[in-house]
Amino acid sequence: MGQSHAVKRNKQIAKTIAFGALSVAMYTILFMNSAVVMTYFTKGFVYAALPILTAFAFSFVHGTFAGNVWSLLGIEAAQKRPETRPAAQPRPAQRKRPRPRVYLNT
Amino acid sequence: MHDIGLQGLQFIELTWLTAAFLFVVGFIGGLVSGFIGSGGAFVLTPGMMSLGVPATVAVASNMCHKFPKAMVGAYKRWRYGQVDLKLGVVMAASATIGVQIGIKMQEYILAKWGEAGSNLYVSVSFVVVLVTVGGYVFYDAWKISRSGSQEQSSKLADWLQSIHLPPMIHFKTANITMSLWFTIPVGLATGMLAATIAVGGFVGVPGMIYVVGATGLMSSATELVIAFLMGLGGSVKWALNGMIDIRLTLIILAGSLFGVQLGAIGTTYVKDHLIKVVMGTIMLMVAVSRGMAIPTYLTKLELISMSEGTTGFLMTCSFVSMCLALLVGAVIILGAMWKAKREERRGNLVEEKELQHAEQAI
Repeated sequence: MGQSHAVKRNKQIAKTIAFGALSVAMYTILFMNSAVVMTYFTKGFVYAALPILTAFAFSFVHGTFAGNVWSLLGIEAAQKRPETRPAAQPRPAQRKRPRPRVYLNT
Repeated sequence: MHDIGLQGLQFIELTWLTAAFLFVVGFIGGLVSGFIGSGGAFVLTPGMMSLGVPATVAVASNMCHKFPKAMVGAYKRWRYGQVDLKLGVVMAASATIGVQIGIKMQEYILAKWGEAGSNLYVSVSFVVVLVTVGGYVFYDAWKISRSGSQEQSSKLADWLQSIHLPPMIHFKTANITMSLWFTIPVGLATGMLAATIAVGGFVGVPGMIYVVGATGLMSSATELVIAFLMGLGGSVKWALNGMIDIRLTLIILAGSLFGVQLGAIGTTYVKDHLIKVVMGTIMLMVAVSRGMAIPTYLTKLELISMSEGTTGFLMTCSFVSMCLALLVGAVIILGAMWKAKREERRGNLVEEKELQHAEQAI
């Protein structure tokens, strides 16, 4: 069990390093070429896809790296299920109140 | 459309200090967002403007960092079973209409009373909404904390859920069945507030708690879905105008992706009512901060007279107290996490000792 835990941890370290390196590389490339990047990314119209896709790509790579860093530091979610409230009871059907009737014997 | 982006656009020169400031604010803002579903934007936009970034570029770049951050946070909290996707999508759809109404109102006020009038309207909206809603959220959290009871759904939510007005929608994860007509006003108000003060979550989360009837934990997680969908729509609009400074966006994102995941993890450690404590505290502090800015706008509109030195001082105090609001929220979250983690460790130690005693006895 201890060995499998060590293997799992080594895999996580490797994954963190790989995503960290990829994240650093992406940031370096972007900032080294910031003049070209800013020219194209602010052109608008069809070029509008560039900043949106870049934000998605960075969030995937850097987000995975950040998540793995917290895991390696031992900061992980506690096993707690969120509570849900019991569903509200339906209102009882409205019944017609019996009308008072008066019978006169004439 | 293409030309709008290029007209007089000035992108700032980045320094290490600027980058460090954006990274740190991004991290703290992300932490608060991951925990209460919103926040951070109200400091980042004025923060960027104070660095010399034009207002439109600051708003656009901030929004472009918001949607990937919210996406990562929503995914993380969805894995913990805290997100009701259907509720998020329904709310986001009505919030999109709310944003359009909010923009029209802003445009009308800007045309009628100019920039100072528009700023005054934003500040007054900030103060009125945040004092009313934030005050109630804080009072509710204080009540739960004092009595030590479980979070109860509001009477209003119970009453609305009992009314059968088609089309009825069932929100599976939140375990709520409600008429669509009662969710729409909450979404509209969220959108209108997002268009006015850029933080729709300050109405969206309390709205989901007290009107729809979801728990604080689920509402704050679902708010991240709304923030993602609305942020994506807004970012596409800004990108079409070429207003996004991707360098600023990515620096903030570098910090906020760490923060948002830490905030999401934090929700699994603390008591549920702490979300309300953090939200109420931040809202009330931001209300005070915006209140400090009101005399400046009243002076600009020549409704009162004040020296330039005094208005300048009040504006600085306003910005500092806004940063402080975010910082206080982050400290409460981290403190509660630290405490919960320590108790968990202590509990594990006790369990281990008991196990050892039992083994020795055998």
